[in-house]
Amino acid sequence: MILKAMLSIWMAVIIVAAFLYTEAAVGFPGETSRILFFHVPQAWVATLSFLVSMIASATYLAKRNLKADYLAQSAAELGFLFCVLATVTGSIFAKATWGSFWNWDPRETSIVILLMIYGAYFALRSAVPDPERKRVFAAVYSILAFTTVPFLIFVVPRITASLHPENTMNPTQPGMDPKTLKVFLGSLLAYTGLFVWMLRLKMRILRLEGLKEPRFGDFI
Amino acid sequence: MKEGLGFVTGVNLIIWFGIAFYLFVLDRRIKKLEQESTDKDR
Repeated sequence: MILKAMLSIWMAVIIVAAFLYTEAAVGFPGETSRILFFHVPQAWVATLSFLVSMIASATYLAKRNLKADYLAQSAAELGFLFCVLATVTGSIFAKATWGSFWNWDPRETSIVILLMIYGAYFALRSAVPDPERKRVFAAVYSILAFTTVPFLIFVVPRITASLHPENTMNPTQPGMDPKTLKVFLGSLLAYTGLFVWMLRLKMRILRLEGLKEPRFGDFI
Repeated sequence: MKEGLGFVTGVNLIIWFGIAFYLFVLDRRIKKLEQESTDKDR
């Protein structure tokens, strides 16, 4: 409870700092660069979620542990949610900087492909009626789906010409403003905390739903 | 401070606290349901 309250306050501090403490990055129209304090952590959490989903799926296949399946499903759902949020915030930024919400930039195209890949994961889960088979199919699909993530997120946008800014919020770049760096890292931490909170909630909901499912013993 | 940034900050804070409040309520409801299912099992 205390951790959750602290996270709520921490996120509020990050919002205030992102708009009122830092300076807008040079080279972007007006104050538009501030959206990256939210857009980049959303993309980071989406990637982290898909990684967690893949690891949990592999664990489920190895141990047939129901908790691992709940984790895999919850992480995939949150990954999808944060991926949509990153797409929406990216699109708003694109409108302000490039004049159009959608430009079929390599990064925009790759995120759409990623959304479709994980959309198919949920379609697969809802299409198989047998719970055991559903879990196995979903686990195998999640592992296969994750193999595209590094390629679509890190490789494709770097091997093709892209409008997407690469170095504005990259903490490894030596020229990054210290104030910006502090708020950016704080935002990454806040979003990761929010992800953990939501992940645990979703897993508890799935567990409760699982308890309602008819079990073999109920029919005897 | 640039004009309008205070307003944007305020709107963002309202949205964030709305989300946080929803998560807290959800957390409580789930806890209640978990309690009920544990009581049922006993």
